[in-house]
Amino acid sequence: MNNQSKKKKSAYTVGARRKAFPWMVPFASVRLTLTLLSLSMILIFVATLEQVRIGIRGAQAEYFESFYGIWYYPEQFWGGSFLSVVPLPIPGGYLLGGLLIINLIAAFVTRFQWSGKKIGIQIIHLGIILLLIGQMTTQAIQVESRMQINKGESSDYIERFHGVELAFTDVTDANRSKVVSIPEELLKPGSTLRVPGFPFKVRVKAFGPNCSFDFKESAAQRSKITMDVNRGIGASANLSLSPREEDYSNDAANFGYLVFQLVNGSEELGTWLAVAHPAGNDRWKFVHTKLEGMAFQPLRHEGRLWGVELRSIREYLPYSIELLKIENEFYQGTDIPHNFESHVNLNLESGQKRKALVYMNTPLRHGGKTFYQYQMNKAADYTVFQVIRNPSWLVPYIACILLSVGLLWQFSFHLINFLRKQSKVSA
Amino acid sequence: MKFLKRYPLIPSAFFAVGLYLAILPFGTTKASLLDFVKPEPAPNSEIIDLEAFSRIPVLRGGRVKPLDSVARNTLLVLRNKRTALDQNGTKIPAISWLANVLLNPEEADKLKTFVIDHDQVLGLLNRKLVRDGKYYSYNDLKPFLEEIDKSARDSGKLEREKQDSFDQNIIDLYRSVLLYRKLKHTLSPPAPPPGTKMTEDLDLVTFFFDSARDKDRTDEYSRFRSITDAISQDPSTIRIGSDAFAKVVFLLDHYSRSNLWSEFFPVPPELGDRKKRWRKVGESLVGEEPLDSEQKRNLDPTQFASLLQDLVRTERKPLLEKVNFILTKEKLNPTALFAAQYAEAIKLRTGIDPILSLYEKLRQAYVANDPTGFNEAVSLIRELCEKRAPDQVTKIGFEKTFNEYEPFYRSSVAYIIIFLSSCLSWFCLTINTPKFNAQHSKSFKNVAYHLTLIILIAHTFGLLGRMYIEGRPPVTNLYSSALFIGWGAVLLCWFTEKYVRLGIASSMGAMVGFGSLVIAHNLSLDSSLNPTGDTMEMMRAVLDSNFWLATHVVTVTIGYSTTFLAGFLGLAYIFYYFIHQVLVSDKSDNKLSTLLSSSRKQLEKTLGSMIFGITCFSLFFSLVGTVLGGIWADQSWGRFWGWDAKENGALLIVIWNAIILHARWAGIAKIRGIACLAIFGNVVTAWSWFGTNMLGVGLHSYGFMDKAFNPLMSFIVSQMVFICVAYMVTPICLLFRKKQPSLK
Amino acid sequence: MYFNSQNIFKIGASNLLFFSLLCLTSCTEETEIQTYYIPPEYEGPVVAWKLPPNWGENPELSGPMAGSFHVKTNSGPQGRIGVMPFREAVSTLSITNMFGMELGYEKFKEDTLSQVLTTKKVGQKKFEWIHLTERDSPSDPKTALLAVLRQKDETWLFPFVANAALIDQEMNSFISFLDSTTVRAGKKVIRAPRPISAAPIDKPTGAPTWDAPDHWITGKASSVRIASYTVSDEDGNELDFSITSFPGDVGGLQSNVNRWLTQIELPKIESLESTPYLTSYSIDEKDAHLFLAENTEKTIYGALLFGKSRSWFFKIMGDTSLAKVEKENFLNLLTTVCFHDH
Repeated sequence: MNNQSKKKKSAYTVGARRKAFPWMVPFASVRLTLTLLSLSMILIFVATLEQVRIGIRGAQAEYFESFYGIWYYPEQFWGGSFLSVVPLPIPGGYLLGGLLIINLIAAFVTRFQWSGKKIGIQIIHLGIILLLIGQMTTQAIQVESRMQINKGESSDYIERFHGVELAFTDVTDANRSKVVSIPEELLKPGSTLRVPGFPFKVRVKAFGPNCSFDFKESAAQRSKITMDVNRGIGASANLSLSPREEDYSNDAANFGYLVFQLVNGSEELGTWLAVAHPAGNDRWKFVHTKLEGMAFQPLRHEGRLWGVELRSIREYLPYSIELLKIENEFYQGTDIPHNFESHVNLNLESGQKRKALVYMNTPLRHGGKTFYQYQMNKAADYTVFQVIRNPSWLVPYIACILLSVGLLWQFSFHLINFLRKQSKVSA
Repeated sequence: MKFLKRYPLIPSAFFAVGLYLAILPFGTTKASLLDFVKPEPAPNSEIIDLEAFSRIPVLRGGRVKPLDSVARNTLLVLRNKRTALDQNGTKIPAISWLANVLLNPEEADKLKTFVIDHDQVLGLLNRKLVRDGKYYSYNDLKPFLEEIDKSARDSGKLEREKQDSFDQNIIDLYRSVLLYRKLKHTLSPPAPPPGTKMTEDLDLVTFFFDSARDKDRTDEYSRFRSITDAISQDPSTIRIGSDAFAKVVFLLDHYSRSNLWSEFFPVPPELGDRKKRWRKVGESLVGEEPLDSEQKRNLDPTQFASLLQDLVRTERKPLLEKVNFILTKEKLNPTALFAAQYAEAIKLRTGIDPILSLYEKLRQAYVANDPTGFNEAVSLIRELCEKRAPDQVTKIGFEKTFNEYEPFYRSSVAYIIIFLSSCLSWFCLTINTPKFNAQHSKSFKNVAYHLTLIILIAHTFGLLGRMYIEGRPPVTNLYSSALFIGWGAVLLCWFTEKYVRLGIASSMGAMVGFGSLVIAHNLSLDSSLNPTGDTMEMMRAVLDSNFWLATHVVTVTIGYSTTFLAGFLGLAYIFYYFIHQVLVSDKSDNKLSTLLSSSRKQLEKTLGSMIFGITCFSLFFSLVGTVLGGIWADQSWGRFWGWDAKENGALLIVIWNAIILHARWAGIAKIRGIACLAIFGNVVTAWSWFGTNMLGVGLHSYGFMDKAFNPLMSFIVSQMVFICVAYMVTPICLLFRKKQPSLK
Repeated sequence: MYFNSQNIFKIGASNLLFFSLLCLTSCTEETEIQTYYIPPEYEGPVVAWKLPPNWGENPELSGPMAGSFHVKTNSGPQGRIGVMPFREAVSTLSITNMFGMELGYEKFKEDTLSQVLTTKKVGQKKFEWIHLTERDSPSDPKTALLAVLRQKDETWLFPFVANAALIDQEMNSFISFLDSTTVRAGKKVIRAPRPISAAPIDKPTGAPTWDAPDHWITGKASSVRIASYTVSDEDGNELDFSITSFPGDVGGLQSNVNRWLTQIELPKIESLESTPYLTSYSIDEKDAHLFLAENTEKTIYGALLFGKSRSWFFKIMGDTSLAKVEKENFLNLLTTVCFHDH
């Protein structure tokens, strides 16, 4: 009996574990940890510098949501003119994160001791693993969108911050409209798309993330890209377009554009131009009356009326939110906002109406999505919510609890020891 | 004799000086700690006494503050100092400068208000730095105003990255001149320049204030009121083509425009105003402009005239409702909005606010040098403010005394004394004279230790005072983070010194404290970070949560300060190591080298555990702080971690501290390695604290033109030099010694 | 397989690794075309049809015309078919008069209307059918065939203007076209459009052209009154706009100004200096005078242009509240006046 219990105990000791999983031992080395941590520091530093060039979202996609990234020393830096030609591979977030997780698990299995003294450390590291995994899952599955509502109106859809889609809406029926949307990843110049549910094929002539445009007197004066446009607003307003670089800064206003042809066998329904207004296509009427139609360029076929528009990627919700009142106050004599509040009605499909107040640090949660007060314009005509869908939102909180417990344990342990020593010394 | 032995002379002198600095006035710092508990002194009746004047409350930058703060803050922007110079270059207190600017502008124009130290800018003014100095009066600048304006506009058109130091300086000068002029006109709206055709056409030449003819400006305001009253009685005169109407429109425009020339709000809220809005002089006469003045171009003149006539015909109470209706419902209709403002000015605003006449009395008393009249006016103004805004003026007295006490300036000077004391304590160990010997070393160390606690109290009082005035936790912006970092480091040092009496902690703490206060001062001078000169500005709504400010921001800042402390301890070790390697060899036998070599093991062990202990602290605080920041972000906008530049910086500090600890646990790095790692921690923290602010995310700007760029780079280079020295000194010394065999 | 500590570790670790790899690889966004249904959001008028095979579409649409087509014939595009949404308050009489004037008819009244009006049922829809033929033209007269569809809250006009022969030829196509139409008004109020042709007949020489706003309803013209419009609103306020022309200067500026002032019961002016009512103005680069006078009940805005041998008066007069609203339209019209002589 004694022997058996001894054996059982020994199965948990470090030595025994190392014997059981010999292949894990090299993965658990502290030198590996140190190397990985140093590489992470290089990754984070480089990614922060790159944000200057391609914005936060770009740097995140390039370096943190990949296995590696290529970095070029910026030309503006000292010595940049010759150092900038060398491409430097930088290990990416998934690579380092994955290896760190492996390293930590291996250390758990083969090196950590579960004694009272050390258990604090284990809990801390467990918290860190959870934090890493949580962050990687969040990056993979979190979706961030925005919802803009004008005062007195309601909205039942959310839009992505980046990315546009070409949408055809059939509005002929009085009871419901049919939407066919093509995401921008499929809109490659030169390609022809078969669109199920829509009577025409779409042939993409030109597409870009940002442009500047101008009105001309006649079609001959238009730029090359828009020369052939003969239907819709691009034709009636004689728009001339020149592509621009995508603006990565935080306040960017990017006007995505698309020039496309509609074909149906031999029948061709013209070449169209669609431009997406970054704050929503209903704001075109404030830019110029001629452009109001960009929100809905009509197209008739076989007794049905379709509208064409290029807009931010949209997701329709089964419920709608109505904006009743907004308040924003500023500290007197300054531009510094004091308070943002939106009074809304949540209109559910069942017909039920719920009142809610959304303001800083107090979001509205419904249907797996959370609505945060994000922006408001100064004349208080509309409010913008940031809408987050993140099923793994609890993971960081659990990780934080673990971390705090572990840190407190370890800290108090050391402090008590230290004080005991001091009292022994002074005694 | 025993007394003298117990408290040797020079260390006691140090202690006394330090104590004095903490409590009592010196130099231009006029207040002592006792002033906080003493009641306000009665005003002097022999000469003009600005003490009570400095306590007059006004609204600037979103909060109510004493005129004393306005004086100091504006001088900070104009002259980079909180005191002023008169026309001969002698120092005068900020409040007397402000009194001149507000009440006697002609005299004020002669005072040396502006600081210009850039050669090319001076060249614009036909001056030379070496010959004419760097302080200039408004009169000096007057002939060149147009050129300054043009130059600044040209520079302003360039992108930030392309602006060089001339551009930045000329833009700063332009802004300073604008600020000065606005201050001058705050209590005295500017009259249209003489010879303006409009004034002649409308027969208004004699309308404006003329010191020869009128008693004070209230005469001009009364004339304005009689014009508006006349129109109020006879609304049919409100139509296009009527002279009376044109006059009123011109005057209303004039007073509305004068609002733009007002730097702060001197008129307290009117009784019955629920929103408790302070007003400018122009506003108290004609109300606030609902839209930008240039929107007046979009007015429809006939509609405007007829709507205005309608409104003025209405009785007062329904007119008030109509005006409110227009202001809330017709936000995009300039015709209706301006008509509402004009109707309010003509019909609803009657009489002249008593504050305006009191300020005029104040001005006259000041110019005529009449102390009794001056004091009376000041106390009447203060009474009126207290009556009309009782809950906004409670902290005015405290703030004024706080300004004068200047806790951070005192502390920074005192830190130098502490540092000197510690250095002297080490110096004493190496020599043996009657004045300086080993016993004195202990006294100096004790002096440093005790003085740290006392200065810490002054520093803490400074932080607490700011917290009381703002009503917020201690760290709200970059300036306050610098103050707090110093405080945290010094506090931790004091605890360390308590258990490890080597004087190292005291000296390093004093260095970090002094350094952080100097950084804080420079931050307050930065025109982009601190445009109004007030470091206690209001917080944006997003960051406006006392709970998170108290927890996340404070924890992260403690993390920064402890990392700096560990880094400076590392620097101390490398400094010791350098001296040791250079001076100690097998052949040397002087007292210093013996001292150095005998204490080496103990020192290494002690410093090693100190750095280790403090790094543990660092890791704890920075990790907890970063995690709290994530939770705050999750609560505010649903994203725990966004890879933002500031977040990344904090994460880098956490990772670096973890690296230091793991390196020590694994035995990979010994004391020299740990010290160098800790020094690199300084670099990481400096980057996280300042470097991330300079990046223009998405704007292709790496912040090279930022004012903090050069100091930051120099600091980083200096730390790298230390690290290099740590690894190079031994091989170089060996090489050196091989080449030169000892002569002994 | 039995579970002990070793196995649990193995299983746990491998599961964790597998899960994380799965997460990474499955994080692809939706990159496919989506089709879904939403509650109706579109607020404009919905009108769609099936075009007969030999009709072509005119892509240039002006104003509120929802559609414009022609018939493809051997000699090119002929005829004009339109689809126009209307405010319901527009009476059949006004519609008929719009086209009747162009074809030379006298202004219709209720009794004379019945001569040209019938009803026709096409499929489920009932149309008011108006057939107008050009007067004084023997062979192949120009014909306007107006089909008016009245639904709850909305009125749709389908005019077919062409030569009589073409109309006969295309009658069946027109009827099947009408049958195929789906029309539904939008949530916004529509204003009645102006008729297809703008220039009236019988003008004095040298007369200008101009652009009137869509909702000003044309009235009767004469040799002196070159243009006549009425504007009205829901409250019963009315305005009358006229362009009149006379040889010579008919008394000069002051007497005309005083004449107008009297019409709205304002006192006459003694001299032309510093009068608040007049400002210098220019119409089609010619010197003119702008007259603005508002009284409490009535208002006159006018422009007086004294040419070499003729005078032109552009005047809008009526209820003050409506006048203020229409003032901008009046001023805009003045800017579109063109005498085509340079």
